[in-house]
Amino acid sequence: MVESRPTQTTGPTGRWADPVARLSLPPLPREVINVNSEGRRPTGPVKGFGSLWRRTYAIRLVNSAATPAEVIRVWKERFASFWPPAGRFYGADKPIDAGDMALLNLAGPAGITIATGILVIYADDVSFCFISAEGHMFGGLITFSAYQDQGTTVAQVQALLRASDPLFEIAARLGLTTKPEDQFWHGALKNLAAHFGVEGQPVRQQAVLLDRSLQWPQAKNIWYNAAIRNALHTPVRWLRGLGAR
Amino acid sequence: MAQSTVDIVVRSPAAGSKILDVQGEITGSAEEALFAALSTAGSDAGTILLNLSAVPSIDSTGAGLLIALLARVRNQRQRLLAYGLSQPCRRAFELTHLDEAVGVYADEAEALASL
Repeated sequence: MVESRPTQTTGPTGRWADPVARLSLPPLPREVINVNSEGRRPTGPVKGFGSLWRRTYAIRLVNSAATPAEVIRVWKERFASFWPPAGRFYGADKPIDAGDMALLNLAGPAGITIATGILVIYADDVSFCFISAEGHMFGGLITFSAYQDQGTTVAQVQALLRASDPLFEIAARLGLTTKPEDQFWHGALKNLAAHFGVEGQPVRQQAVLLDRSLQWPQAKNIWYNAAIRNALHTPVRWLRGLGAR
Repeated sequence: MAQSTVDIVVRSPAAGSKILDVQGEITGSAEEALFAALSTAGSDAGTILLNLSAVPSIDSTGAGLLIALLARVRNQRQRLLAYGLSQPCRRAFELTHLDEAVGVYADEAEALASL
């Protein structure tokens, strides 16, 4: 049963977050891997290294009466619950709002968990937006939105991305980060649609290369590369685990 | 496609520069108008100035459009400046770091004086 919510704001009447210099994460469960996240600076595509892509994923909530505002309200309230098993989202225990910070634990290669952070920079009734932090595989700006198209509500994820550093750019060109990214958002959108009783709808995907060039001054971002730092930290975590037994 | 939320006029304040007078809210629906205006401005001008004094608000998709616009301008070997930012626009520039890549000025006179 979808709760009725008649108000729907069109146009950007939302709220931008107050700028923050560094991430300060909410209280986290003990089992969470929080390496290379606390204290990192928000970045985004302007400070990324690789080619600039816009990747858009959308699903039509066919035969659902949910309005765009209802979809976004539920998405904000239950954001983490729609994530596929390949990732975990640890945010504050409340609906997502501008200024929130969160930790992500993402499945990486060879069983490594990649920990990284995000800042919610903008939210309104029909959208909200994350920007990535130092160390994330992408300098990314990701907007989650919902809108009406020919009488059907559409839920959409649109990511503006540059790989953060040369290593992640190589991985992106080999599809090692982009394919899992695509699969991840397909899964998240299908889970969201299922909440509204919509099953079997395809996720439409579009990837547009906006700027082929590389931003070489940002190559230094590799210092914070979350894959490297989490890989180096993994043996430490294993040893600590053994010591705790 | 959704109806554009902006109107843009292109003018030439001085040799080698073009001003895009943007009026309205910058949202995702502004994409066609923004890039059409950039095409009208052409790649000959060394500097593109965004006059945002008639832009009361911007959403995150609109901020993404400005990041894409910045990439296009740089590819054309041009500089991008902006002036007349409202508080929401200023905040969007800060949070996305556009303010570190785009020269931001209070008004047109100050922006032109920087050329």
